[in-house]
Amino acid sequence: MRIKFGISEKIIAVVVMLVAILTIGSGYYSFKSQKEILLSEFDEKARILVNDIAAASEYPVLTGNDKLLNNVGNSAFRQKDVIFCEIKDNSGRVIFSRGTKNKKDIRSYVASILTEKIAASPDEMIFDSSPEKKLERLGEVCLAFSLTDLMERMERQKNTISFMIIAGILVISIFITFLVKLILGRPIRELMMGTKRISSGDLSYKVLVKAKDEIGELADSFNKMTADLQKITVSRDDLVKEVIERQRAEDKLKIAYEKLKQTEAQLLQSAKMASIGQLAGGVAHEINNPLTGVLNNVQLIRLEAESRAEFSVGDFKELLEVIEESALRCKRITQSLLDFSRASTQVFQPVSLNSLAEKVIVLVSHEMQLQNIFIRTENDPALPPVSGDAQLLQQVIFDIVSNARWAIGKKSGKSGGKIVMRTKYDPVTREAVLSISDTGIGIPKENLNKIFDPFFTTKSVGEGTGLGLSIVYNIIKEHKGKIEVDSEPGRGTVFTIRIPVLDVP
Amino acid sequence: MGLRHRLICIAACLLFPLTSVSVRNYAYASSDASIVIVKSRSIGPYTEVAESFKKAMGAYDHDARIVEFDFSGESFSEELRGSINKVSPRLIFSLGTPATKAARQAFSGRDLAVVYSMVLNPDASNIGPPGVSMDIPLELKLKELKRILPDARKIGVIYSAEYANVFDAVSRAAAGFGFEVYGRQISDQREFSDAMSSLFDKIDCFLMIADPATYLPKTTEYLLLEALQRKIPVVGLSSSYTKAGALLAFDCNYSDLGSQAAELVIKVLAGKEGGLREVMAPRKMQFSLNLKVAERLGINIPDEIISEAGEVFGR
Repeated sequence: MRIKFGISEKIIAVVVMLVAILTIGSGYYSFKSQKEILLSEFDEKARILVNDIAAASEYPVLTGNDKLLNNVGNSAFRQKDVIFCEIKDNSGRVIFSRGTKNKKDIRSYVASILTEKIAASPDEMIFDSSPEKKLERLGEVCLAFSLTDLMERMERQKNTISFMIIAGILVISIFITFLVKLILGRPIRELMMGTKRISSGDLSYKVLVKAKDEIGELADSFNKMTADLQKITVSRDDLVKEVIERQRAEDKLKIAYEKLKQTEAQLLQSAKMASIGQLAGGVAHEINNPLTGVLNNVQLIRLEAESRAEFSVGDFKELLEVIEESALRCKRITQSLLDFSRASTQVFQPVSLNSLAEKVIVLVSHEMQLQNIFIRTENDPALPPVSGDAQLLQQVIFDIVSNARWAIGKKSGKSGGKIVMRTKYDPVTREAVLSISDTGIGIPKENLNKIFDPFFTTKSVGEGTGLGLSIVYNIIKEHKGKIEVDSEPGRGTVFTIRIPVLDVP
Repeated sequence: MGLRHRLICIAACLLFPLTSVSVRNYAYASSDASIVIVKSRSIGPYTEVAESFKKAMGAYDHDARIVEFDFSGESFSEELRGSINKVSPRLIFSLGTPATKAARQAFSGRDLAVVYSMVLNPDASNIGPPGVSMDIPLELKLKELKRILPDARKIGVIYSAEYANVFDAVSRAAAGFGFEVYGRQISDQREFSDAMSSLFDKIDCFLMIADPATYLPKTTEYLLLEALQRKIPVVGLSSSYTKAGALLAFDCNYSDLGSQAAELVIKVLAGKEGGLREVMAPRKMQFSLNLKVAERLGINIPDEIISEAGEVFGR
């Protein structure tokens, strides 16, 4: 099991270790110094004693006073730690000896016994101030000291110092532990508690540290950070709420958009149906003419067949060809009408703008004739196809042509006008360009930027909904194209549609 | 400070430059020769004698030129000898045994008189005339001793064989003053202790003589200590001994010793008969007392004697 140590324990351990090292070091140094002092004192005392004994021996050795010499020697031997005393004369003869120095832990000290000799002349005795003291060596004193007592004292001192070191370390350690726990441990625990509470989500928790030091500053910073975090969290919640609301609004918007799209599609279809309704008379007239031709030729063939006994198909070849041509024409008209009336599939396929323009002319030609409007196409046979929905694009052309017819009618009444649909390929922009010009009343400048807005119309009630050009604009946008209008009131209007062509291999 | 002292001070200040010049540059009128003073040591008594000598010479002859040298060691160095030769002295006045011996040795082949002073027992040091010794006549000493210690009868003396003549002289002189002298001759320091112990049983006063072989500083120290314990007064060799623990000691009058030497020098330079052969003893002496020792010994010294003492210690 791994034991975890907190910062307080680490600091305490380091400080206690340092204190221990310092205390042991100083204790060792103190003991060493004490030892040196004791040895030095011992040495000094021993030297003083041996010199004193040498000085005291001067007279007895000088005068051969054995009694006094014994007194001096015995006195020296009685001194503390002295285990051996020996006095020799100048010839090396031992004149006093006591004790033995064949022991362990001893130190021997020797001092010469000197005496002052007076100068040779008697007059120097008178003044007792010989310029230089002449000393004569009489012998020597040797004292041997036992170090046992000193060693015991040093051992005792060592034990005392060791005890003091251990006691000192213990006391200081306890004190440091208490101090560190008080100064560091409590605030750090408080900070840890705060961190845990914050991490658990309690941002209202405040760390209570009254210290004015770095820990206090840390606690203040922590509390400030917590407060900021709380503010940020509140803002985040608001933001989340707003995002959710926006999401909902977007969903609603999507629904509304879908509804709008549906409505737009419905409107488109309704408009288309309305157009078909408008076209119905003309279409019927267009169909009626070939059908009349078919009928007349069929009746003619019938009459000829009844009047002849024998006949062959070749006999009616020309009539049959006329009938076939008329029937085909009817088929084209109905096919155009069917194509126009079919609801959009929103499937983009290669579409030729030339073909669409031609189909619209088929549908509206009778109406145009009724209003003396001359409509024609000037198509570029090399125009590349575009990617698009044929029904939607046909609707676009039809709406613009219908508006042109209305504008011409508004300007000239039954006197008519001219509508020209031109297609061309713009190699620079790689677009198919379809322009539809009319000689109608034109659009006032102030309305030019509004004509594509939904529900904008200058037509009377019942003549238009204001959605036609808006739908045209959206269809062209869906085809990644552009629509522009150039108009001069009283002279006519030109709508130009640009749709990117399919890549020509 | 009284008027008398002030006048003395003023006179001293006025006379000082004159005397200092005269001390250094005496011209000896008769021969225009110089006198060289050589001192064994530069200590108080020697200086006192030299100054007294110069003063006395000045009184005799204002033109006398005196040059002073200090000496140390056993013989004159070449440098000192050269310095003395430059002066071309007519006479050398030596102070102390070492200077006298060295001067006589250095100028032994020349006709140059060396007159000594401050020499104790010149015979023992083989120093011949002319000169003024420090040997105070025994009669003078014993007379004063009798006056100071009237109860003393038995005098003890320790001496070496070399100084047996001194002991004999003491014995002879003492008899004249009613003293009984006990002597112990020693041949080695080891005998001193026994000699002292046996002597102290018999005497009531101990007289030291200037015997370097007998009295070493340590033995003197124990002699003074033992004598004090045994309540025996010791007569020392000089005031230094009185100060160290002797009851009393006799000293020369050093100032008079200088004057006395100057007289002898004049006599020698003048070529008077007997001048070169003359050995003078001090004419005047003084004594010193240690009252503390006297008190320990139980000796009552009259005030009039105390007042006569040149130096009194333990007052």
